[in-house]
Amino acid sequence: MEPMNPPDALFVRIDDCLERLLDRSRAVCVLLADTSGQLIGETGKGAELDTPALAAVTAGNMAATAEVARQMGEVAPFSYLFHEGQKRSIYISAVGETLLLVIIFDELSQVGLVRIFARLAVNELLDVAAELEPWFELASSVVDREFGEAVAEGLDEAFI
Amino acid sequence: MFINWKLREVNLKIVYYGPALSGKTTNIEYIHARTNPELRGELISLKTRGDRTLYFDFMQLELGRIKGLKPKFNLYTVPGQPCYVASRRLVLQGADGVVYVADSQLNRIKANIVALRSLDDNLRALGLSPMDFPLVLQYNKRDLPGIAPIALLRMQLARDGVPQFQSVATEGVGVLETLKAAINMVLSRM
Repeated sequence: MEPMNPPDALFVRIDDCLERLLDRSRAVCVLLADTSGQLIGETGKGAELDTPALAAVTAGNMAATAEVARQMGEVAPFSYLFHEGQKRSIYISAVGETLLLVIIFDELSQVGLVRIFARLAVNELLDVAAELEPWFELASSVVDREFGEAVAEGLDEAFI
Repeated sequence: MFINWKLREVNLKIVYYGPALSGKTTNIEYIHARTNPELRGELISLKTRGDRTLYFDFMQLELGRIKGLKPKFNLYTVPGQPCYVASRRLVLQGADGVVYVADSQLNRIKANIVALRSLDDNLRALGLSPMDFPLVLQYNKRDLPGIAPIALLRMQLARDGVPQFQSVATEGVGVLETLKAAINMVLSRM
């Protein structure tokens, strides 16, 4: 049975939002991930980066600093993180409790600019995230026995 | 499990858990080395200077499209040392299944039991039921002297219905079989 899909309009809104943020903040690359490190969307020059790995380690970074905040007696996790590099910097912002917005930028931009437009994007993405939430629950509906058997065969061929 | 509906990708997160120095990272390193380079991402290791896992190791393994969906497996290890209990819980967030890597040496029986209890505690803290959670047991280091008989390890660690494998992760024995069983178990529970 063909699984039901969420409406394309939701993904168009996510793409539009990420692209607008990339353009306005003059960033190198923008990623959207969930808090367990799964990559949801990306735009910009992400092709030259290992974006799934970036999503995993930035989610780990955010999770670790949430624990730091707790140990410090903060009532909520930090809403954003900023790391300044020699060539590129990274700004990571929470989008509610389930998503992360990651912006990588270089000397063509500034953290202040990134921060302003990241805040606007977060508000927009919060609305989309609320509409996407029910579809996450339906994820298991696409996996059936036939799919599992095909994965097992695929795995046999993945190893050399 | 997370489905990226836009890219039509099915993402599964498998976490390698176990006591310190049981061979979790060695499992992932072997899987990475044996995976077709076109189907794997970089192996990321967040280590201390002493080469011990500080936070986690991570690699992604993907397959070609199946029924229009591309399966992607995100493999993580947790740090085994007792002081990193908070890190272990963080890595377990969003996990679909766990491979528990036990150290077969007789003098590590207690460490195995303690780590398994901590896994149960961490799963409960995340709102999950340890008895229902997809778990595969791997009895590693079967090549070393002074190892416990399998019957003893089973008695101490195994639960009904949990697949079990013997392994020598340094040589790759039992490593891929364990991973395949974990993925099959996760998919069959969906």
